[in-house]
Amino acid sequence: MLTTMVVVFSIYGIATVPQIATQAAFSEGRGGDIAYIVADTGLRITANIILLLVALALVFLTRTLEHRGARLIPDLVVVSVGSAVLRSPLQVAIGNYTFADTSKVLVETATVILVAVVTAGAGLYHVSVRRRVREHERAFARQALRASAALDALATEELRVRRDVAEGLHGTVQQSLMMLGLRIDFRAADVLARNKAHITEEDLQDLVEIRADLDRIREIDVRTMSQLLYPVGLELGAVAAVRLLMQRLPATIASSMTFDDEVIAIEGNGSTNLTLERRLLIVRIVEEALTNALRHGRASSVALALTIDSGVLTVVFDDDGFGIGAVVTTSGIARLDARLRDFGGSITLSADSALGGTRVLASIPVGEVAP
Amino acid sequence: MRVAVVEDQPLYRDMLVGMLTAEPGVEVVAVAAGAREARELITPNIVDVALLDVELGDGNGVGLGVSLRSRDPKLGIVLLSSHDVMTLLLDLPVGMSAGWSYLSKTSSTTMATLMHALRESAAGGTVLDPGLVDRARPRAGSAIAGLSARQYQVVQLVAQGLTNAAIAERLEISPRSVENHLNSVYGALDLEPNGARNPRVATVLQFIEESARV
Repeated sequence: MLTTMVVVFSIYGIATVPQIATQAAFSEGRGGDIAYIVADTGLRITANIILLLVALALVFLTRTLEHRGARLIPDLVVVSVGSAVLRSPLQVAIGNYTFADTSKVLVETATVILVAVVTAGAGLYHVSVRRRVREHERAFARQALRASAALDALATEELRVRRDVAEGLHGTVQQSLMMLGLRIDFRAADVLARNKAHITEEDLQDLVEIRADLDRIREIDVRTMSQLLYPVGLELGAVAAVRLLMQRLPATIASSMTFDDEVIAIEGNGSTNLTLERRLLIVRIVEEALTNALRHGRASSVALALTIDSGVLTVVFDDDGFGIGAVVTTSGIARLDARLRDFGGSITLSADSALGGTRVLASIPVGEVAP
Repeated sequence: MRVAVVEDQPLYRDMLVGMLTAEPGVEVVAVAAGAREARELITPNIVDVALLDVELGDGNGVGLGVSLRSRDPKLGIVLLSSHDVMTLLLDLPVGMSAGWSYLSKTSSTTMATLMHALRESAAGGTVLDPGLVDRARPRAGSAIAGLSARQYQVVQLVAQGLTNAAIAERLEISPRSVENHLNSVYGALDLEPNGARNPRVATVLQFIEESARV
């Protein structure tokens, strides 16, 4: 605030230099005397600098900088009138005027009051605007912090629910379906033993189909849904979860995977040093890249590499599919990118694939995690 | 054979302990419900093989297995999981990959399979769940996919922890032919035997890495 005041007053001071010089040049009829003009200008500027210091001293004495609103008006009056009144004896003392120039002194005093009011007013206005902006910024930052904390809590809770539902599907639902299958088997064997004569080939065929459907629902549908909710192996570390995902790629698609030593140390062999959210995001990145390669790019070969460098985990997923000529940015990539940005990361598609198709490049800061 | 059982579900744990105790030649020397308890109970040289559930309440069987093995290099580890997480065996620290087996809780694992896996792991071998091995398909473009149908069959049986004699019996060929097939597999996979690694274990790991399971 102090800086603002000094700057405003100084600008006023510098701006008046030509005016003062002109004044000096045409006063007392000594227009051509350069030495006199320089000396007189210096004198007048000195007077103004002293005035500036006086004005600043008054600002401090009245504690103007701590006041706001209506309380500023008396401050402003004291500062401007005070400095203007003090200025006149000063001007007389250094010989700019004599006491005889009463009208001159009065005009000067009035002018200085006006200038001081305008200058101080401008300065104070500037200070108050800056203060308001800073308060807004602080409030905004507080709100952002609260929002981000709420979002984190929500994400954690969502993950918990997802895991519970996925475990329920994988455990209870699958087991119930398995028991149901066994009951059908027993019942069918029983009925077949007692009423063989009444059972047609069609009945049997029907039963076999129902049985196969049940197995398919249990083995494929329920498992797929469970995986969608909460990836298998997330509790075992990102490397395990990613490997499990890649293992499910159809056998007709060639794949290679590399994990650097630091990734293995942090998230391999059952270690889980990253937060659950970050781990899930890493799995989602690979999932999205796989979907992109298979659905949009129809790839026949993919390569995945996970590395950690300077606290940032990078996922590079290359395929030999159509490339981004077919699809520029999928909605899945855009959604994931927004989520990654919350963590300071990003995901992009490009045509830089080492296999000739699309490259998915994603990064997520993981900080300095000690394995 | 001294066995440790680590399983967080009480009923499943009791069933495993009961069934193992009833087996001749098996002594259950440690039973734990979680990773922390297991680390305290399973001290070096008191157990030949540890049967570890992968999903534990306070950690996981893989991390536990790695820490137990680094204290006790001769300990065999049999992982048991309700998900197909065989790929967990791929990232094990250098020199630690022998003696790890993997069985699924949901496939048709029998007591005979479990006993086989425990014995093989205790002796430094590797046994993978037969149901999961049968479902595996070689991945396109991989060295495993380059094997002949017969060689692939032999690899599948090696992955199930069978000896050459057992493989010969299963495929109705001579043990000598099994040996020949295996040698050509080692050649094709670039796994010529050297002192540092067990080519059987290396073959199994490559099989896991280069196969798809749907």
